[in-house]
Amino acid sequence: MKNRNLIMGVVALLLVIAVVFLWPTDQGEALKGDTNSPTLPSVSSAPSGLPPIVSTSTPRANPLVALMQTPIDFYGVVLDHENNPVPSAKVEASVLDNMMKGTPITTTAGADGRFTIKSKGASLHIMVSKNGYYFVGKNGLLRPSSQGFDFGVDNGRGVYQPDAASPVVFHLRKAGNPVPLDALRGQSKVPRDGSPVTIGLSKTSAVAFQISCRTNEDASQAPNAPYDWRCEIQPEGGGIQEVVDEHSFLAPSDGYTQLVMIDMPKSLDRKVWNSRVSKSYWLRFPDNTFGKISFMMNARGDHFAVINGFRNPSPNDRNLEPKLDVR
Amino acid sequence: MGNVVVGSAFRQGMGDITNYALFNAAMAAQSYEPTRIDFPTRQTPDTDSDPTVQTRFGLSGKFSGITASVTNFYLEDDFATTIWSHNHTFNKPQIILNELGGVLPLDRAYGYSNGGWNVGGTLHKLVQLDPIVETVPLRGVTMIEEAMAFVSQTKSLPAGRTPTDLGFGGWKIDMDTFVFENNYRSFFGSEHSAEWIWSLQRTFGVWRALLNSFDILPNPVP
Repeated sequence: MKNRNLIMGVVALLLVIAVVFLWPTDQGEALKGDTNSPTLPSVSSAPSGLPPIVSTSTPRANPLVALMQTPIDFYGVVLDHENNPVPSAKVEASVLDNMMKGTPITTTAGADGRFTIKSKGASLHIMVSKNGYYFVGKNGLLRPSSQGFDFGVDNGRGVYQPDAASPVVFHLRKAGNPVPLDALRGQSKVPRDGSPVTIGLSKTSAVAFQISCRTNEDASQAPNAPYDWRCEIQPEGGGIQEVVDEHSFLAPSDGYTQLVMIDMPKSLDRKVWNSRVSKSYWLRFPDNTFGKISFMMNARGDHFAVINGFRNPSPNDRNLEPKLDVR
Repeated sequence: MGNVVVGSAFRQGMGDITNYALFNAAMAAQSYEPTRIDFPTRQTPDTDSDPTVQTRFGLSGKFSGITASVTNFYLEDDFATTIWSHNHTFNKPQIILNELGGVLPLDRAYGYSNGGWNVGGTLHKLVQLDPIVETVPLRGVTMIEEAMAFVSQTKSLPAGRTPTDLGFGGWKIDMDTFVFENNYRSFFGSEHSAEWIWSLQRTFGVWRALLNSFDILPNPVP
């Protein structure tokens, strides 16, 4: 039995060797032997409803693969919010140079804030950072700290044109004078019938908010159909006003009102009406301390409000720059 | 693919859905918001002179009838949806190519033309072409699923790359500069589905936003 298995194994091995060495190495060569055969790849019939089976020996270049080899010459500069260079800023980039995932590239800005990236790929995403500086988001006058660029073909936002004399600006906001701040945090469900709810915001002081919301949500409407809702926000005994410059840490000295209202009639343009609103507010408390909060109101289903922010515990000090990691 | 599946379910009458959150949606923004056009010069089934072809094979408005509160979690530099967009540029209608740059036996070539092709006496605007002689039509494309997979080209960026509420009046959440409580931020950069790859500590702002989008009050931050 053992010998029989050995013989069978040797025969199988010889067959494999024969197939490997005797098989035609190029189908194109086989076609050349027949003078009636076309020089183009052969096409055979397929069952009805299915595409024809195609073979060819002349593969074409995939334009997507070629796009990933587009030369990248990128010129950037990191500036602070007053347009001064940020030397030695960290530059973290990711280049789309394959079909699976971006390849990371890290470099550092020079003393003049400038940096260069040379690579190959279809897209480039760049994020700059430095200890002691804050990121800048996409809203506002400053250029964001995180931006993306396309190369080779327009992918909806134009193709980046390299210009060493006019580098792309990335802004970072330089930290000023951070001070110890008290956290303000609170969240609560809010009745939809206008009944006020009081939310305590601090574990160390009696800072509280009163919120009321009146909603005329019609249960028979489609889930995303607009409806009338209105919300009033009132710091107990203090003043409030909406934040205009998200990047500012200095609370205004005046301009506060007793309450603010978010009014969302269903007659609003559909692009304006929303069942949820997020806003930032400056606060002035009765002891003349100041604070800054982000406020989110959800006026759908079980209504709720979420408040987060800071308060400077020193009276008359309007500085609200927190001591935080810039990331 | 997930948002295509969900969108198809809505089209086929899936009801009782209150909230719908799209994450990194690899589907044309114009499918949700017909006015969203980023490539105005493209000639596609959406621009066809025949309204029947537009309605059947165009992408515009295919998912605009969604009856739920919609939140679009988008990332403008997401590399995966960037490739989706490039794929539409080069491969819709599909040409006989694969990721290896060669030609496989089952590769197909397709075409769209407002003028159409005469295939067996019938005018077809969308056709499967002979992969060798690419001007010769083999047959007309009649199934919407085949058209969407191989022929119909987008005129917009994918929803997952577009800063829009998709016309539903809901939320749009930028996952690159999403600022969370106390200055925590979620910078996803170009990372596709970072919420599944990175740590919860790094991405919890987005998860909390997801809870909010489902009308769920998250636990307080300790």
